[in-house]
Amino acid sequence: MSSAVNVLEVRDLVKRFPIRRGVLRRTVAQIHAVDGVSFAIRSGETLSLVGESGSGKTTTGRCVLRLLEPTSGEVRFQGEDLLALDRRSLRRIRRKAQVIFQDPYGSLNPRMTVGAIVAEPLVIHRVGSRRERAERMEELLRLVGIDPKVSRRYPREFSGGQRQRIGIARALALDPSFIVADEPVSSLDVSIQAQILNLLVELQEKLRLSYLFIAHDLRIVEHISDRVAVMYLGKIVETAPTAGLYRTPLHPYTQALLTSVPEPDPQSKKPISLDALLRSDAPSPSHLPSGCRFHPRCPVVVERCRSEEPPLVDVGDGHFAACHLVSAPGII
Amino acid sequence: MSEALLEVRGLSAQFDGPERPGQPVRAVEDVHLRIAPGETVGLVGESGCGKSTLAHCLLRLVPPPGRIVKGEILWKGRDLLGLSEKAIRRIRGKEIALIFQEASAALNPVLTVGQHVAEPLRVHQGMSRREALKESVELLRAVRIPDPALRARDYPHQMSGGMKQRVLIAMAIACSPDLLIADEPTSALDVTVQAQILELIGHLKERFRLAVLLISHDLGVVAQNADRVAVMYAGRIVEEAPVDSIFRDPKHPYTTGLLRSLPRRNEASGKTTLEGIPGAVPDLTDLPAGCAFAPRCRLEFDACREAVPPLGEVSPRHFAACYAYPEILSAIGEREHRAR
Repeated sequence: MSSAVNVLEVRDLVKRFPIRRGVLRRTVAQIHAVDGVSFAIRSGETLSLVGESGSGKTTTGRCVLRLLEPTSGEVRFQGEDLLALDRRSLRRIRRKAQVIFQDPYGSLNPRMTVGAIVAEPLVIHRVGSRRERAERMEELLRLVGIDPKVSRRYPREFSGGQRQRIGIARALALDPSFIVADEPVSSLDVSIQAQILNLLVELQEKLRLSYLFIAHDLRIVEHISDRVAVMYLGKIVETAPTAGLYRTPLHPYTQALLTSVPEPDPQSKKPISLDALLRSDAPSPSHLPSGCRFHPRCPVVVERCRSEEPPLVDVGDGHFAACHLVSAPGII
Repeated sequence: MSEALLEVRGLSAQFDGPERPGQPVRAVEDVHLRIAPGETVGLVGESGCGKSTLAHCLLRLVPPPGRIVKGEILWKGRDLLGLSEKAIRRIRGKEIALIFQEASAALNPVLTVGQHVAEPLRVHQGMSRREALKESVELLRAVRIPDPALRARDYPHQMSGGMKQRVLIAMAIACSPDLLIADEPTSALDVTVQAQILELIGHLKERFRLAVLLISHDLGVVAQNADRVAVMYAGRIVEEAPVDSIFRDPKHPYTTGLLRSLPRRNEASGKTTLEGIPGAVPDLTDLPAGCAFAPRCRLEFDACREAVPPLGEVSPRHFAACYAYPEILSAIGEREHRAR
């Protein structure tokens, strides 16, 4: 793969969290939060990671920026191996790769003015003079739709949607090319969600940004993504261009997920019962099932699924799925 | 129209905000709502619109400094606001049950799941410990918890979020109530678990002829599960109609805005602009004189800034509180005329 088109390349990313017990804090088990994940993001593209709680999507997003140290794997950002970098070089890269968090209440320092929050990355990275920084701060606020006149106010004086705009302005301060957006609208009301989603799309076009968009809301993901990767218990089980994934989901988990989304249209009542599509609740990432990790919940499980883990296979048109029924339908 | 199970008339509730004495937070303002036996009414609105406060009012569970300041809550014809605390306790949990979002917070960590479900049976039905525990296994089976006899001995922390929500539902239906108030029952759950819980509620509704007040911020959840929908904004119901009619032909600009804020499935191009609603919800201690939605509304005209538009029937069984409809404007005219 040429790194000229891919902003980010992730290969076999693994992140385990040890579970420690007892006086000696011995590791008694591991949580396999991310268990061998590979993907690439092209310049100007939005790739979404979707999945339910415990699927490892947030951990993946943090590992990609080395906000968490991955256990193993490879992360290449604009061709450079991020995991091999020392702290100084990492700082240089961090200017180009930023993050937007879910919680617009917890992620802004309540004791700093909005202007100081937005200008802080410029101060840390020693960009420009004081005056240039003030100009840049105002420009950033305008860019996200906030009147620079309010830059002396504190975060508590702003609504959730406005705070998320401020968080976005801060992420854009150093002119990044890549942004990890971790559930950026899930704590906002629908009418405000729409405003923020529009802003993210507009900024992407204007600044040619690439997004790794992490979300659990499948309607929002369909709206914003070029490609989607579905995660289940630390693995990508299916990935495809957005239209292909939503039109012809191949993995039984993706199918269940899409069926579960309640349509805001009373006419489109689901004909199938979900109990027929999914069994039981998701198992814990500390006790992974053998074989395919979805098999205990899978409605179409066969013997092979219990013992053998299905690989992610190419089914054409950029569509990949990890299911024995997809990769070897004849054998089963 | 059939006899109402619950009829709320002109209900208002306030909180005395500590930071601004004399300026109460008007959380619920002049709300009228009826629920017929076996009917599911969806109550939608964004955070802070008063939908949870309304739910708590119905059971007289508004936490102080909140209080009901006006109105009537008629339950099978009796005004709940006139009842003694003892009398309301006989209705709460027995005839009207409540489930809410944080299942974990509602369960006592030192009691088993079976003991939780047995509790209402002992309190309201006077069952013995043993009888109640036996019955609780049946209830856990009814909410489709696998191996109910075994799981009855589990403690809440041994269960997943979805399973805990099932336990809450089992507790709620234990005394076969007539009305279940479900306040964001699935908002903390993953989408696949949400679908299973909603399917369960639908099934129980049929089986026990249960009326449900389903409170949700998710328009999809309401579209799929309600018979009738009421939309709340800044403490008031601004629109109310049968589910098909509200989603096909929303009358209030706020409802229209909410529906247009949602990304549509199977859009041709993913990156179309969503309409959304400009601005943000008003401060409930400092509401505008007229319609609370006027500052965000694209239809807004003079009348909107002067007086709050009343909820009126703008097409058969479809109610909206908006001056864009001549019926509503003339209603105000008549009222002023009478006053003179």
